[in-house]
Formats: sequence, structure tokens, C-alpha cells
Amino acid sequence: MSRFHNLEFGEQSEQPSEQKPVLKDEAYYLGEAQAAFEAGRFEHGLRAYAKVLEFNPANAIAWTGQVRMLIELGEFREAKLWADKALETFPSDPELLAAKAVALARSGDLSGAMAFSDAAIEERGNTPYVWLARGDVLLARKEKRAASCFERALALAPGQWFWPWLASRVHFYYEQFASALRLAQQAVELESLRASVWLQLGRCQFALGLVGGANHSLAQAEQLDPTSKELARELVHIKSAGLRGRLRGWWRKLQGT
Amino acid sequence: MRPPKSAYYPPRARWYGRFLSSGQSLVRRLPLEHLRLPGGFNLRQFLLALAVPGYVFFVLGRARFGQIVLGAYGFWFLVALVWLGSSLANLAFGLMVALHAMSWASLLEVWLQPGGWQRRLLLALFAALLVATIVYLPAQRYIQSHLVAPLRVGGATLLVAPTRELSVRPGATAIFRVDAGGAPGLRIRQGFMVAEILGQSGDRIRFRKGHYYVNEQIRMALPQMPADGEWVVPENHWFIWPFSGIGIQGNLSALDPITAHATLRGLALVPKSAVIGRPLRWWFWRKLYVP
Repeated sequence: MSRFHNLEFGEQSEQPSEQKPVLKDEAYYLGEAQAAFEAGRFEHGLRAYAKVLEFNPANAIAWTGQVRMLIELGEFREAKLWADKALETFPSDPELLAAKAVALARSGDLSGAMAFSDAAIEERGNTPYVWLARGDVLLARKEKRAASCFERALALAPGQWFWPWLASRVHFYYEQFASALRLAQQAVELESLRASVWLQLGRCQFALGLVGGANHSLAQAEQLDPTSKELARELVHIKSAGLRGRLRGWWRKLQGT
Repeated sequence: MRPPKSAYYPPRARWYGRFLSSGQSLVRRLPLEHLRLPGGFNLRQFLLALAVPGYVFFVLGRARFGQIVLGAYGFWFLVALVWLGSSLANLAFGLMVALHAMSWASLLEVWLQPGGWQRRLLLALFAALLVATIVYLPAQRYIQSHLVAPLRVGGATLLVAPTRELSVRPGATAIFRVDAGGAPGLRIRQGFMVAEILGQSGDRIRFRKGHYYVNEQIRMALPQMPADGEWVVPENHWFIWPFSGIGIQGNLSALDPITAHATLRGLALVPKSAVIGRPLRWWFWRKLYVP
């Protein structure tokens, strides 16, 4: 008999764990989709939102989520098409209107984007995403008012890491690397146990030629989520960028973008 | 990764999505949004109005007239294409230019608002000049040098497919450029001639009465061929005979034998660089004349 036989390890060690079977319903998939979004796994998020809609086609959050996933995946034309389809059912959903505005802005239809962003705000869409989307549209239009929209979006969700992270992604897309870095740092301060946040920070640092910092951030991300495909892709990209990438980063740093 | 079979899964970007995305990014970077064109035209309408004859009338709310102009342009385009090389095709080409110029003039009128028929006439002339210089003459030059060109050879109009000198071979009929020249009492006009290529560089041509040899191959003599003599086709030259379409003023037989022989030699041994193309025998359903 083992000499540890009589030691008490609490109730958990005494009783076999009985896991309840998970009920995979609308709420389950909605949670999974949100988790995938936060982890930067947009493909997975897209599928999870589709599952939500299979349970409840009238879930406007899932429709909007899908459009946002397509935007994050860089498929703006498809995002616009899907937003149009969703708007047939929810013509005045502010977040859906905002998502379509972003899809249009990134496709180059800047006046159309502005019109949809205006419509989103007119629908009393005082949510972080509506303001973030407006910032996105204004950045596409190279308007200085963009900064105030991002500030407003962040002010509507104080203490949440998700919005500075998302705002950083938007700035990164428009090659505003210094702002993207600042926002990514803000996100890391709020939530340092998320691989997606460290990955975003690493991308921004690398874009600015801060190679050492980028390697450190990506190493953090790798520790937190060693299975992330996005991270693996980014590491390959950074390793293959070589001297040219570093020089470009230094040049951007000099330009102060 | 295979997309799930769900009615709620959105359509995904195809393989060319990356290129579309690059194009969109470029569109976004260009300051097109801030470009304001006079006359209430947006950039797309403006570019279409320049490119498509009659489109300007659609934008100006005269769709019926626009349809007529566009239809007429299409009709004359077909006429010019099918009857290429004929007078009718030339007329059709002129009408195409006129219709396009009318569209450009209407576009310019929207901005300049000339007022008075004299100014409008001037504007129309200016538009015609502009559209011909910018669009039609370069297009015509490109088509004639790369696709097909009508050519007057010896009073007949041939359609010529421009070809590189390397793509013709002995036995083929080709069209050659002729430089002006001649001898006392004989003048050769600059122009074109059609001939079959009979020999190539290095071939030995021997003339005899009633026949001639290309290397050891005997052939029937052709009109005006010498009855004796021997030539070797120089490097980068073809040997051709006869010279259909060539403009000769004077009588070759009236020349002294040495000059006549030299003139004939100059005409029969042509540099390969003088080849401009092959005559077409068919154009759509039309059988074309080839000498």
C-alpha cells in the first residue's frame, strides 16, 4: 500500500468527476463564436456563427458576426454580399449597417461607406462597434476625425481589452502602425493572458522594425497558444521577411507612421 | 478546409479574391473620391462617356438618342470590319469617328457651355480632331501593323496579314515593299508587290531558254526571265518572280542588256526585311483577290 494512501486530497479526488453533457445550442455556439473571434480564429468564428443561425436564423448578432469575420479575413466583397443578405431581414440593425460600412470602405466605395455609417449612427447605434466602424470608414477616407471615433468606441467599453485590440487591427490594416502599436499595448495592459493580443502587438512591433520586441511578443503568444495557426503564419512571415522586412520597418519608424 | 454545407455559411472568396482585394486597396489609396468632375458626372460616367460613343446621352437623360448613336456606331463598326479595304468601309470608319466625336463634343458642351452655333461648330471640330488623334489613328496604326491592313497593290486592294520575315518560306506568296529606283529611261515607283517566293539564300538560279533551275530543280520559265545567266541568292534575300503590282514607268526591253539585267536582278532578289505580310484569301465570307 502506498504511504500516501491516507492523505486527503479534497472531494474531487474522492469522487469520480461527472461532467455534464454539453448542450450544443444557440447560446453554446454563440459563445464559441465570440471566443473564436477573441482568439483571432476567424474561420472558426465564421462556422460557429453559421451554427448559431442554423438554430435561430433571426439572430442578428450572428449575421453581423459573420460579416465581421469576413472583413477580418479580408473578404470584403463577400462581406458586402452577406451584409446585403442580412439587411434584407434586419434593415435597421445598427451594427449590421456599420459592418456593411466597413466592407464598403475597404472595397474602395468610400461615399457608400459613409452613408451606411451615418445610417448606423442614426439608428441610435451607440455601441463600441458602431463607433469603431465609423473610425474604420474615416481612416479609409483619410479623415482626422477618425481618432475621436476610436476614442468614443473605447470610452463606451472601459476596461475591456477586446476593443483596443480590434482598434489596433483596424489601424494596422490602414498601415497606421504607431497608433496600432499604442492600442495593442493598451490591450496587453488590460489582458496579458491572451495570445491574440500578444500576436497583434508583435505584428505592430515588427511592422515598425522593432524586431527584438516583436520576437518577444510572439514568443509570449506562442506560449499562451501553441496551436494558433494565425501565430504560426505570422512567425513564418517574420522569419521569411529577412533584411528587407527589417529595413522597411526601420523606414516606417523613421517616417513615424 | 472544406466549407460546411449550411445555408447560413456565407459564400467565400475565390482564388482570384487576392487580386480583387489588391485592386480594392489601390482604389482606396487613389484620391478618386475627392475628384469632382464638372457637369455632375462621376468618374465612372466620365470614363464611360469617353470610351463608349453615345453613352454621354444616357447620362444627360437622352437615352433614346444615346441608343440610336450607339446602335449606329455598332452598325458602322460591323460594316467597316466586314468590308475592310473597300470604299464603303472607309466611309463607315469616317462615320464611326464622327459619331464618337459627337459624343465627345456633347461631353465638352456640358462643361464649356459654348453658346452660339459658331462656337458649337468649333467645339465639334475640335472634338473630332481630338478623338481622331487620340483614339482612332493610334488604333488604326496598331491594327494595321499587328492584325490586318488593306493595301493597294497594282490597282487592287488586298488584305494583308502582317507577318515577321522569318515566318515566310519558299513556295509562299508574300507582299514586299518596293523602294523607288530605276535606271535612265526606267523609273520604279515606291510601293508594294505580290510574288511567290521561288528561292532562298544560297540557292543557285540558272536561266535557260524556256526554263530555269533552282539548284537542280527544273521549272518553266516565267515572263521576262532572262534566257541565260546564273545568280546565287545572297544571304538574307529571297528570289521572287514575277513582280505583280509593281509600278514601272518606261520599257525594260528598251534598256541596254546590262542595265536591264541589273534592274531585273535588283527586283528579283529582295531582302527578307522587305516582306511586310501575307495576302489573305478569305475575310469573313468574302473571297479576296490575290494576284
